[in-house]
Amino acid sequence: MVKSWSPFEDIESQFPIKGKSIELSIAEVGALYSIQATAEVIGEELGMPTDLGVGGTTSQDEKRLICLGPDKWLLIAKNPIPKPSYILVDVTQTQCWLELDGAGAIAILNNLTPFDFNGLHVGSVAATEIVGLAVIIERLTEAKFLIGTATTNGPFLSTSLIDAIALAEI
Amino acid sequence: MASSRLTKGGLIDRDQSISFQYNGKTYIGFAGDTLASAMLANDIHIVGRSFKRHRPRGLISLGLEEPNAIVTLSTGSKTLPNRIASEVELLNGLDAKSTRGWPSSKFDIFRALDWVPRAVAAGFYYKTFMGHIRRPKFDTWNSIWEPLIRRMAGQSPAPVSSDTATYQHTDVHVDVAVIGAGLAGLAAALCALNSGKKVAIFERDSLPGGRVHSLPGCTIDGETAENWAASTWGKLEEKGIARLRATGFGLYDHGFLTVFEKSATKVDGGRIWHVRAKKIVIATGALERPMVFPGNDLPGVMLSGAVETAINRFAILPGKKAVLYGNHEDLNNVRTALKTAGAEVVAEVQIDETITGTFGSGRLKMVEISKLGTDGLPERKKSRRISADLVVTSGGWSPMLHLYLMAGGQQTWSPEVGAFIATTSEKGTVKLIGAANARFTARDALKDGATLEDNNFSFGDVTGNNGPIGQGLPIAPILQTDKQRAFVDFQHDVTVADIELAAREGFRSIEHTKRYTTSGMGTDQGRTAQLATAAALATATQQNIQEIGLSGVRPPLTPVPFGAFAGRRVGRLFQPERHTSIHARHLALGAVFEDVGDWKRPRYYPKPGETMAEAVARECRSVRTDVGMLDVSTLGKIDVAGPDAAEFLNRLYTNRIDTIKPGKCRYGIMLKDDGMVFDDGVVARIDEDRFLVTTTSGGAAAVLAWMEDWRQTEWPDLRVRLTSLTEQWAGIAVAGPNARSVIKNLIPKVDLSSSSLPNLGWQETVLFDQPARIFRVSFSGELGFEIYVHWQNGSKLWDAIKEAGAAPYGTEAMHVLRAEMGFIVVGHETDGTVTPVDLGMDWILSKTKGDFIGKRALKRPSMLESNRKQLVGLVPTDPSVVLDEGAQIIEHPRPRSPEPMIGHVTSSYWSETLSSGFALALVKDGFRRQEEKLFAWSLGKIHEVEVRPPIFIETKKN
Repeated sequence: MVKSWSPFEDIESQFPIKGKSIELSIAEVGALYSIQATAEVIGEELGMPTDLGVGGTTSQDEKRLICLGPDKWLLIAKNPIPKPSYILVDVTQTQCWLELDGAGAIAILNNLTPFDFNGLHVGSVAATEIVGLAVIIERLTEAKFLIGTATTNGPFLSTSLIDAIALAEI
Repeated sequence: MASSRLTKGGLIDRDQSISFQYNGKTYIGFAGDTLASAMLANDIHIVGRSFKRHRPRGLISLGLEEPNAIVTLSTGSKTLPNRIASEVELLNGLDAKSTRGWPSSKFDIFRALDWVPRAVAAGFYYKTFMGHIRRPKFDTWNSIWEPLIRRMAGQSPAPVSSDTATYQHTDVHVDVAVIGAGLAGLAAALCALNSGKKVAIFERDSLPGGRVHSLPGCTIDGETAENWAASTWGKLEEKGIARLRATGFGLYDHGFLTVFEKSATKVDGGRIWHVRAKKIVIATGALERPMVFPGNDLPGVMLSGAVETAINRFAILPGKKAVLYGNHEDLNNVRTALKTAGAEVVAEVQIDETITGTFGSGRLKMVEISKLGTDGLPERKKSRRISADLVVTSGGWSPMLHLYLMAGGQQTWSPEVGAFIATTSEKGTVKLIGAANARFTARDALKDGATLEDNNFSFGDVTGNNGPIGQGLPIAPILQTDKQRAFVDFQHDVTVADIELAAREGFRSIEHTKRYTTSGMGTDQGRTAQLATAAALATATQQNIQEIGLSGVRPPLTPVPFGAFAGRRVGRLFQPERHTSIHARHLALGAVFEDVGDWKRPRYYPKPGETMAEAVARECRSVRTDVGMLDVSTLGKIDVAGPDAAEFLNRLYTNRIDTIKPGKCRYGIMLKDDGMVFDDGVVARIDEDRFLVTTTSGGAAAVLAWMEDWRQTEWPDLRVRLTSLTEQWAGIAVAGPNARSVIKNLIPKVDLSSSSLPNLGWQETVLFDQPARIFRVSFSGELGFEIYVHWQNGSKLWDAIKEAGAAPYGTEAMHVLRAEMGFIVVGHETDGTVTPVDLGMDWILSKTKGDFIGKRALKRPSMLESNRKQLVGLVPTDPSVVLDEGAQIIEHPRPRSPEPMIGHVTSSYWSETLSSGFALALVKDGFRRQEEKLFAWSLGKIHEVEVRPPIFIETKKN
C-alpha cells in the first residue's frame, strides 16, 4: 500500500531544495516488495527478465525489479499488488525516497559516500551508505539519482544532503 | 623591518604586510611567510621550552619535522593546540602562544630542573611515583605532585570550548594518487596524466615544488625549477585533482589514503579526503637529521635545509656568524647561500673534529670545537672556542617512509645511503619515488617520477644546482662528553645519557626503549629523533643499527584536529534520531524522551507541575487499576520465512519454536555461542513456514546481523529468508484490567475473549482498511494486548485507543511494571556474562529438542558453579529507599578494605503497588540467600536490604 503519511512531514514544506544547480525533492515510488529467491524463481513468478547482475534493473508493466544481490531483490510497483505472491514481503512502509537532480548531483554523492558514482551507469543501482546510513541509489539519468533509505532515517538523510549541497564547491 | 629579514629575495610578498601576535606581542610578517619564518624574521629565537627540563628551544627546522616550535593558536574564544609553527601559514590577526614556560617562555622558573643532575632522567616517573609506596596520611601525590607535574609538563592545554569550524569529508576515486608535489611527485603525476590516468596529487606545502624553493639555480628543460613546478602544477589542477596544504596522514589496505587539507584562509577548518586509488605514489621526500653533540638544542643551532629555506624562500638570515657541522658535502650549498646573504662562516667542523659545547643564554653566542682523539673521543684540551650565533648542522637525509610503513612496507639499513631505506620501492599498489626512494638529486628524482608509467615520458636536462649530492659519511660518532646535554629527541627532552641509562637497565629493543625514555613519542612522532635514538642505542648495547631498527609508525602522520575526523557529523548531524510515526503525538503530550539505540522513546508524560516520580507513579496506577497505552513501534521485527524457518529458529532460540501453532506466539531467549543471554522477544507463527520475531528496540540490527551470519555462513542449507519489518509495523501495547473493554469497539471483528484470543495468541484483522495484527501478550502482568498496524497508521491507532480511554505511559513506568513481575530486560539484568540459569530461567532451556546456540557452553564447569551471580529481588529495610542502579552488594554494614563485592543492583524503582522501593540484583549464590540481610553500597551510602524472590506481584488471571 502506498504511504500517505510521510517521515518528512515536519520538513515537507521546505522541499524541493534548490541551489547550486541541484534540486532535492521527496519522491514517491509506489509499493515496495522485498524478495529473497533465485533469479529462476523470480523470473517464473513475475515473468520479468532476471539476468540483470547485481545492481541491474528492469521494468515492465509499471513494475521495476532491482537486483540487490545474488538472491536479494527489490520490486517497486506503481500500485500495490492486491494479492502478493508468497515470496514477496511487503516493505512499502520501511523505506522512504529522495530524488537528487542536477549537474552537481554526482559531486554531492561522491562527497558523501565511499562509492564512486562516476562509474554507476544509468539504470543501475548501488547499495552503499551516506553519513553512516544504509542507502540504495539508482541512477535514473545522467544527472538524476533516486535515493532510498529506512523510513526513520529519512529526515536525517535529507538534512545531511541539504548540508552537503550548502557546502558544495560546485 | 625586522633585523633578520634580507632586503631582497625570497618568495614573500613584501607589499602585503601581515600583523600577528606571539605571546601577546604584535609583530609584522609578509604574505608567503609561515608563522615560524615570521618569528625568525622578527628575531624570536626562543620558540618554547623543552618538555621536561624547560631548556630554551629555538627553531631547528622550517618544515614538518620541527620539534620545538609547537604553539597554541587562538581564534575568537577557541584555541587550537599543538600546531607546528612552520606548518602554519601567516594570516592577518594570527594569535599564537608558546606551549610551555612559566611565567613565560623567555624566563621559565622550572628551568631549575635542568640544573639538578638526573632530575628527570629516563624512567623518572616510574621510579619516583609508582610501586609500593607507603602512602602518608596526607596524599601528596594528588594534592601536590600531580598538579605540579601537569603544570610543568605536557603539550598545549586542551581547548575548553568546542571547535565550531567547518570540516568536511570528501571521497574520491582515482587511478593514481600522488602524495607530495616535489619534483618527483610532479613528474609522476604528469607522467600518469599523459597516460590518460585519472590523477590526484596532494602537497603539504602552500607551494608546489618541494625543495626547489631552497635550491636557487636549478633549471629543468631550460626553465627555472620554480617555474617548471608552477606550470606543471597548473596542468595537474586543470586536468585532475591537485590540492595544496594537503597532507597524507594515513595509508591503509587496498589503496585507501587519508589526506587532511587545511584551509587557505583560516587557521581552523579543513577537509579530510578519503582517496581510493589503484596506485599510490609516495613522493614525500626526505627528512634531514640533526647531529648529536652537547648543547645541540640551544637556539641558534639549525638544520642546513632550514637555513637554505630561510635565506632562499623567506629572505631571512638566521645568523651572521655561522659554524658549519655536517657529515656530507651538501653543506657547500649552505656555505654559498650564507655568504651570498652577507653572513660570515667562522668555522667548519672538520672530519677529525666535533662540537663539544655551545654557550649562550637563550641564544647561541659561542661554540666549542674539539679535536677527536685516536679513540674517537673528543680531546677537550685541544679545543677552541669560537664566537658564533648560528650552527648549521646536518647529519644527512632519511627517506620519509612513514606512509610506506603504514602500508606494511619494510625498511632496511643502507650503509651506502647512511639511512634506513625501503626494502623495495614497490609494494602492492604503493610505489616510492624521489628522495623517499633515496633518489636525492633533482635529476634522479625527476627520472624516478617520469618512469611511473611505461609511456616513454621524460624530461630534458637538469642543470645548475642539482640538490643534495647524496649522503656523505655515516652517522657521526655519538659517543660524546656531556651526554646529559646531547639531545636525540628535542621535543621530549631525551638525551644520549637517557638512552644509555635505558640500555644499562636492560632495554635492548627500540620499541621498549622508546616507551621507557619517551624518545619519539611527541606530536612530531620523533621525526628528527628516530635515527639518533637508534644509533645511540646501537652504540650503548653494542648492536649494529640494522639490528636495532626504527620504531613503528602509525596514523596520523601529523596532528589532525579531532573536528576534522568528525567532519559534518556534529550538532544536528551527529547521529540519526529515529522517531516512530506516533512521535508527534508524544510531543503534543509533553513527553520526556529517552534514547534507546537511535530511537527517541517517551520515558514519561508529566502533567503540569508533576515530578518524574509522580508522573511514573500515576502511569503505573493507570495500568494496574485501569488501562494504559505504550508506543512499542520501536521493537525490532523480523520476518523469518521459508520451509526451514522453524528449524532455523529452533537452533537460535533456547526453547522450542517448531511446536508453536499458527495463530500462537511464544516468549524466547537467544544466547550467544558462549551461553550468555543475547536478546529476547516474542516469536509469532504467522503460517506454517513464516514467523514474525520481535527483538529488543536497541538490539534489532544486531539480531538480524546475527541471524544472517548463521544463515549465510553456517547453515546455508536451510531454506529460510529474513526481512526486517521494524518500520513496516507500528505497534501500541494496551495493558490493564480494562484493556479488553477499551479496544473491543476498535476491533469489533475480533473476539477478544480468552477462549478466542488466549494468552500468547494472535489474530489478523483489518484496521483503517489495511492489515492489522493483534497479539495477546503482556509485559506488565496485567491483561495486555499489542496491536500492530501499518507504520503510516500508527498515529491513527494511537488517537483511537486514547479516545477509547487508555492513558499513555512511558518506558519508565513500563520498567517499573515489568520489574514488579520479575521480567528481565536485556541490558539491565544481562551484561554479556549472564546465562538463563543465572536468571532463574532454566525452564526456557528445552530438554526435548536438539542443539541450539549456546547449549554446549552452558555445560561448562564454570557455568555450573554455585557462586555465580544469580538474579534475586531486593527490598530495602527502609521502604522509602530507592537504591541506585549499579549499587554494589556487600555483606557487611561497615565495609572492610578491600570489601568483596558480591553483586550489583540491575534495576531499581519505586513501586506504587508495594509502597516501597524495590530492586532486581545479580548476587553471588543469590538463589540460596533468600531472606538474607545484605547491604547495597553506592557513592558512600549504605542501605540494608533483604533478599527476596525476584517476583514482587502475583500474576493475575485474566
